[in-house]
Amino acid sequence: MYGLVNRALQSLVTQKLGREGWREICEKVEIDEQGFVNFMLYPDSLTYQLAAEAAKKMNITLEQALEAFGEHWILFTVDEGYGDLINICGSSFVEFLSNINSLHTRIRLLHPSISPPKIICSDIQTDYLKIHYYSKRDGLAPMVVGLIKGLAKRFNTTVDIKLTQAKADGHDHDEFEVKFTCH
Amino acid sequence: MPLILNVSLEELQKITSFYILLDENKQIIVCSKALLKLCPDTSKIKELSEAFSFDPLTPNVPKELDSNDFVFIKHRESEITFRGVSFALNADKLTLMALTPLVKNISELTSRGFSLSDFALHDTFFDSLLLMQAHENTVRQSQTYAKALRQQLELEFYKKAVDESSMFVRTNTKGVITKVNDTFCRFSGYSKEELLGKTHKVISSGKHDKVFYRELWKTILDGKVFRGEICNRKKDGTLFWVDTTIIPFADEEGKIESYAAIQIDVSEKKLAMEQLEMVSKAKADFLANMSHEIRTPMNGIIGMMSLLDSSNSLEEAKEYGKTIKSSCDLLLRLVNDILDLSKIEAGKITIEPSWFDVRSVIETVLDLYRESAERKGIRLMMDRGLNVPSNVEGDALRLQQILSNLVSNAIKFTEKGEVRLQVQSQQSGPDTCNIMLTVIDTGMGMKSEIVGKLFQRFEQGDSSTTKKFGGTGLGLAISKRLSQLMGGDLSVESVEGKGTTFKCIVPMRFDSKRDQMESKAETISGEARSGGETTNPVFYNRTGKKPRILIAEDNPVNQFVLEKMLSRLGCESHCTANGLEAITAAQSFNYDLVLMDCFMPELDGYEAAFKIKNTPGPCQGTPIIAVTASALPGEAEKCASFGMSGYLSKPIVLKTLSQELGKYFELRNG
Repeated sequence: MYGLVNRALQSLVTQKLGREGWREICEKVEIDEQGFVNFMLYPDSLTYQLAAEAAKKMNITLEQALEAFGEHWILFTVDEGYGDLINICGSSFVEFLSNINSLHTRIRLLHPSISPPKIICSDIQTDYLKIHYYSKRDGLAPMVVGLIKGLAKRFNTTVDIKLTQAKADGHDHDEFEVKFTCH
Repeated sequence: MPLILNVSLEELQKITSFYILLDENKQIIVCSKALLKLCPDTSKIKELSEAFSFDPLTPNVPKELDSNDFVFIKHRESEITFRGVSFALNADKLTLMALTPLVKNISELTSRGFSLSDFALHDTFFDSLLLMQAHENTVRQSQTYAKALRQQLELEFYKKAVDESSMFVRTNTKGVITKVNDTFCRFSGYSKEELLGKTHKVISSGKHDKVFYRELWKTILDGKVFRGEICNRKKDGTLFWVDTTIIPFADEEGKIESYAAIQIDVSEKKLAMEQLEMVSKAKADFLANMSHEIRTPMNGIIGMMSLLDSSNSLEEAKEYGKTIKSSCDLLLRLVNDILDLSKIEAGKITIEPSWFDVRSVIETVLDLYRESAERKGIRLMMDRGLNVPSNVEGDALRLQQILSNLVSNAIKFTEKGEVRLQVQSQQSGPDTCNIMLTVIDTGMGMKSEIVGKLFQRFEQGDSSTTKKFGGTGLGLAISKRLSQLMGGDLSVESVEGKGTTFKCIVPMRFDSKRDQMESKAETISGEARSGGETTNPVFYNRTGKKPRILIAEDNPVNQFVLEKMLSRLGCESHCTANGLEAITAAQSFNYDLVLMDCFMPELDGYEAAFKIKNTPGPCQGTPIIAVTASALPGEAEKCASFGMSGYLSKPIVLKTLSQELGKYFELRNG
């Protein structure tokens, strides 16, 4: 994954546990605490290791940590100077979700080596939609849940998310049912 | 070229986001949805040049729009410049202008309500903006990292400096150790694994009370830096002192998140300071004692002198004289003790062995103190072992000094009972033995902590002892060091309330064949001495006349004393008051001897002696004896280097003056 993801994780841990907490995680994983370069590729295993250590430190499950991370992601990218990119993705909860895939596709043009996930919306109604999450990585479904929650917060929307189909059960992708109310 | 493209406007919008379609008169037929977002007026304006101005540098003019070349047009209302190419769609005589707005960043688009879906999927315009944004972000991050790197390099520098010189410990807000450096591990004896995750309690010495730690925590919890000295305990149990600085570190919101402690080992300094304080206190006590000790006999002397001044009775005067003499003796002993110790410490005392009778030394000491023991009602006894050789080789004077000290101490601290002096010998070789002198008293004894520091200089049993019993606190230190100089040792055992035993063991050579002869020699010498005291001898020079002696002395009292003593010894004397006067006198008269005070005004005794000895005249060959108050080691050598033949240390008594004169003049009974 590219450095920006790891930096987002760093940002979340620092927010929850302080710089000292992050420093300790880095020592455990044996990496330089100085940080990551946003558009440099790092091994996926490193991100998993960091997330697992962060979960341990925060005394929560890995799933809870990934969800918290997904929720933090939107906030972080705005803070990191990608606010315009987030803005141009859409001015509403649904528009944003519909455009995510387009954004990922474009990013792939810039960084041919990265493998962004594919996120497709279907059955879009005024208070309901389905999200189909395709990824060559496993176990990141909780992060998508957090991402949806983070987006909902950004667009002042309440959401109810249900995993209706899991890759872990042998399907080719995860599927979420999202009921939402815009305020 | 045949027309191969047949695309609808909808499909065209998927290829290029910004375009304008013109008719053959260059009138706007239609604009793309995205262009309308940037240039809304183009929905109404027909004339292209009304909505856009052409860049004057562009090679194209409106009439040649179909030249298939780049064109730069500027939207008059929004002032956005577009770069584009125009295609002549010949079949319909239409012109297609495909454009790209020259915008700096995505925010220019978002501010005009653009969404990602407004851009043609295949149009890389948005991608280039994304790239620019990423580039900008990367540059910003690089700058941040470059700065961080510089700071880190600086930090590395400091870290190295800290690691080389100090111990470093980092803890979280609960005091749990999260980082330690190697120096800390080395000093504490713990490994990193043994320290990480533990609190500072693991190295706590227990030397600091709760108040200390409360103050420490209060300081750092307030976000202030703590500075102080802390005593820690190593893994092996030994203690070490560290000069400690604890710095609290806060996060961006000012909340303390960790503490860093930098510590420097000051154990040696601390120990040195403690010792210095002890020495300083001991010296201060010593000076206070000395002051007291000097004042006591001085009081006797001054008091008696004032009584003498007004006394008409010869008996009374003799009585006062005795008290003055004993006070002077005490003062002299004090000065001698200090000088002895100073010589021992400077390594200037050498042991001068000669054959002597151990019994006579013991008897001399017993004789000296018998009267004072009797005065206190104490029995003074001696036990001599059967195998003690009478003739041994050693320094009799120093042995007598040690014994005198031990016996006088024993009498001083014993109120009733006895002081017993035991002499024993143990053969250690064919002609060597260890002489053991044991002084046992039935006195007050001492506590063990006092016994421990008894032989340290300036120490007495305790400070109250000095006030009650007097003394310089130097006697035992001197005795111990003298015993050691002689190759032996002095030890003590004491039970409080029961008494004290001092044991001096000194190795000596013995010679049974010389026993008889030495014994006789001692007896004879003793008789000669006692005979001399009663016959009042006087000196004569080579010509059988009274020796003529030049005195160089600036102090009138000392002049008077010397004149009187010389007169008593049958000499004539002439006084001068400084070095210059002495030289003048020495050049005008042939004196038999010169007594030269070393410190005088005008010209000191050293220079005066040097002049006399190196200037032709009647006294060039006359012996010059230095008379000086400076009795420090090296003084005799200094006097010799200026040409002086002898050396007398003040205060001068008749006996020593007589002994010195005896080296140059003939002694006859007066």
